[in-house]
Amino acid sequence: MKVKEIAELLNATVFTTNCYNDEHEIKYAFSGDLMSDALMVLRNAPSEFFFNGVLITGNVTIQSVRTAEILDFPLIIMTRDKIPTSQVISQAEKSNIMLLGTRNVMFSVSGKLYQNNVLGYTDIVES
Amino acid sequence: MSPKLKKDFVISRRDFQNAGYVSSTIKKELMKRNIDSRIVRRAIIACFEAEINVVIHSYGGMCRYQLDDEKLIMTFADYGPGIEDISMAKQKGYSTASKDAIEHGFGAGMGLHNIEEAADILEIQSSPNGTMLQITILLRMK
Repeated sequence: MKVKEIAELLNATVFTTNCYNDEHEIKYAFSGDLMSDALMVLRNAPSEFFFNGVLITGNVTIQSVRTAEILDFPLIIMTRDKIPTSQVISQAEKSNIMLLGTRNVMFSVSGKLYQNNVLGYTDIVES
Repeated sequence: MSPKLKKDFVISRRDFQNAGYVSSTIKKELMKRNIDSRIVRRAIIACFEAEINVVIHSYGGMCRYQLDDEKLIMTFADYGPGIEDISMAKQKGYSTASKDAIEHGFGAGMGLHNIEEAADILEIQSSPNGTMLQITILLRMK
């Protein structure tokens, strides 16, 4: 899915207006609030998982941006109408990471993307 | 041959706003050197977890990284209170973190375990005065 298709599907707000490549293709996703979990589970994932991946989280702190930066995710979807601070948005733009916000809860975001053929880590390592 | 590098950073206690700066800086340096991206990711995951540990658990500390063509050595040294039981702390789920650490997505007791899994060599020394953690990553070019 292209980022613009995801934004439309989730009726999302674009927080990083200075950094928004709506044509970027997203094929993979990881959902979670625990950043250590993302770091541990994904440490051996292929690079494509990150370059064409999204981090779905309810964590709107700067650490979700740092985690995306460390793992090379170009996109974060922040769930449940949470709004990041201007400092978080500015750090995301500096790190070239797109931030989208949606009213959908994490379960619904994950389900809607999965229905559109966006895969999780275990879908690619176990297939 | 790339030049050898050595650099020090100060890491402040409970400074969640800047936590990750050291990891981000080291990552940029590794990416300049044409190192296999999986090794870069493993190195920076270990670095980020160690940096977060200093922010969450210590009274403040520093990181020194040394880089040459064969290896990256990251040394994290902090002031107290130290790790009471290192083998317990390496177990998944064992945590002594505060509520604010958890709000930032850490403190679930996976940090030291993650570092051990990501590092090629890990040395830990700890006392009530502080902790020294040395992470070695063996490098391979693309």
